[in-house]
Amino acid sequence: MLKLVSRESELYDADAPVTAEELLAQVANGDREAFAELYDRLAPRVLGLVVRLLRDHAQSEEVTQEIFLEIWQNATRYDRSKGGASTWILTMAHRRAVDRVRSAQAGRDRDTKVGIRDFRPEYDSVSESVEIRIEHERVQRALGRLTELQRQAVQLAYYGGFSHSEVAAMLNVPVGTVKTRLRDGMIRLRDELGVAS
Amino acid sequence: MNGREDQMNSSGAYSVSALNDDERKAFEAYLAGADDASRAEVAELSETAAILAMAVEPVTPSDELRASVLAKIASLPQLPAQDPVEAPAPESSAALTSEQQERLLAPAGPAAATARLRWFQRPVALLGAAAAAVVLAVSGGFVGAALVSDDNGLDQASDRLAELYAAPDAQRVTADVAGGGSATLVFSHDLDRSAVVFDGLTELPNDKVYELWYIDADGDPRPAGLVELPGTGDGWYVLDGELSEGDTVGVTVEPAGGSETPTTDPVVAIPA
Repeated sequence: MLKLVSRESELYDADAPVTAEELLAQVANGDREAFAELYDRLAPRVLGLVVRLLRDHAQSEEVTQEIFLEIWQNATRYDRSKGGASTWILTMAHRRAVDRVRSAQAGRDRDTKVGIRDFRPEYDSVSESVEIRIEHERVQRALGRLTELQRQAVQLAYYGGFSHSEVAAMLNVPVGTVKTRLRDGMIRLRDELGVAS
Repeated sequence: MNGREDQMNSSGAYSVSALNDDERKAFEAYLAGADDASRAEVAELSETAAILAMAVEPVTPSDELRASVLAKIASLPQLPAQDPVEAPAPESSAALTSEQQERLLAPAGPAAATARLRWFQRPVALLGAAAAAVVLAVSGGFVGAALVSDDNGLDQASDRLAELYAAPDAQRVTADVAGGGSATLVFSHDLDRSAVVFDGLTELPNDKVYELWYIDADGDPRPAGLVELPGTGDGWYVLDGELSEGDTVGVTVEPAGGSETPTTDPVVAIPA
C-alpha cells in the first residue's frame, strides 16, 4: 500500500509558499501582487498551450493577455471545491485558444486533411525541464492506452482545436460516434492518469 | 427531453472544447441541474484535459506581455462574486471579505470533499494491490502517486508538487540509493521547496521507515518527512519545511515513527 506520512504541522507551515489556489483567492480580493505571482507561475504554461493551438507567436501572446485579464476579472468566481486553480486556468485558456482558432479559420475552409499524427503534445527532447518531461511521458503513456480512434479524436480535439464535427469529417465517422469516442477516451485517460474524485 | 446518458455523451467533447457554442451552453445548462455523479465526471475530465495541457512545452512570454497585462489589470474592475449554490451569498462587493476568504481556504467539509478533485489523487479503497500494480507499472521512473489519510493533506501535497514542477527554476538531480533504486531530487530555490521521487527503493521491514532531511551547510539536519513506499519502492514526497541555500537533501533509514536527528548514515544525499 502506498502510504505517505506527513508532519502536519510543518506541511501547513504558515511560512510555506502559497498554493495557486491561495494566490487566486488573494487575486479575488484585488491583490495585484498575488496576480503577478500567479502570472509568473502559469503564463509559460498558458502561452505554451496557446502556441500549440495557434502556432503564431504574436497572436498567441495576444490571446494569453486576454486569458489573464479574464482570470483577473473572474477570480471572484473561482470555486475551489470544483477543482484546482491550474485546472480552472488551463480550461479557460484552452477554450479561449480554441475560440480564436475557429474564428480565425471560419472564413476559409479549414484544412482537415492535415496529418492526424501531427497532433501530439509537442515537446522539445532536449528540454531540461523535468516537469515537462515527466508530464509528457505520463501523457504519452496514457494516450498509448487508448484505442487508435479514441486517441485520434482526443488529439485532434485537444491539441488541434477541432470541433467534434470537424473531427467527424476527418475521421469519416458520424458526430455522435466522435462524441462517444471523446468521452470514452477521456474517461480512459482520466483513469490512466489517476484523476479521481 | 434527452436522458442523462444522451446528455452525458457530450462530457468528453465538452472537456476538450469540441462542442460548438450552442451545444456548450446547452450542456452547461444541463449540468447545472445534473446529479453529482455527472458533475463529478465533467470535473474529472476537465482536470484530465488540464493534464494534457501540462504535457505541452511551456513558452516564455515576452517581458512586454507581462508589463502590458499588469498595467491593464490596474484599471480593470473585477466581477462581483457569484453565490456558490450551497453557500450563503457573499457581499455584493467585488472582493471577498476575510471571513469568506477564510471559508474558501478552509478544509472542505465532507460533502464538498466528495466533489473535490485533485491532481494525482486516488481513492484509498481502489488502491488495492492490483490497482497499485497497474498504477505503478505505467511509470518509467516517475510515480505521481501518494496517499494520506487526510484528503486535504494530499490535495496540498499534490498541488505543491505540481507547482514545484511548474517553477521556472526547477532543477532535477538523480542519484543512486545505497541498497538499491534511485532518488531524484526536484527543487526550486524560487519556491524554497523540494520533492524526492523514488524509483525502486528497497522495501523496509515494518519497524523501519525512510526519513527525509534537509541538511544545512554546517551539516545540521532538519527532519523533512517520513515516507513509506509500496512494495515496488516507487513514490514521491514533497519535503516538509523550507529548502534553504546550501542545503543537501538526505534520506536515512530510521525506526518506525522517525527520529529527531538521523540515527544512521544517509542512503542517499543530494545537494540542492
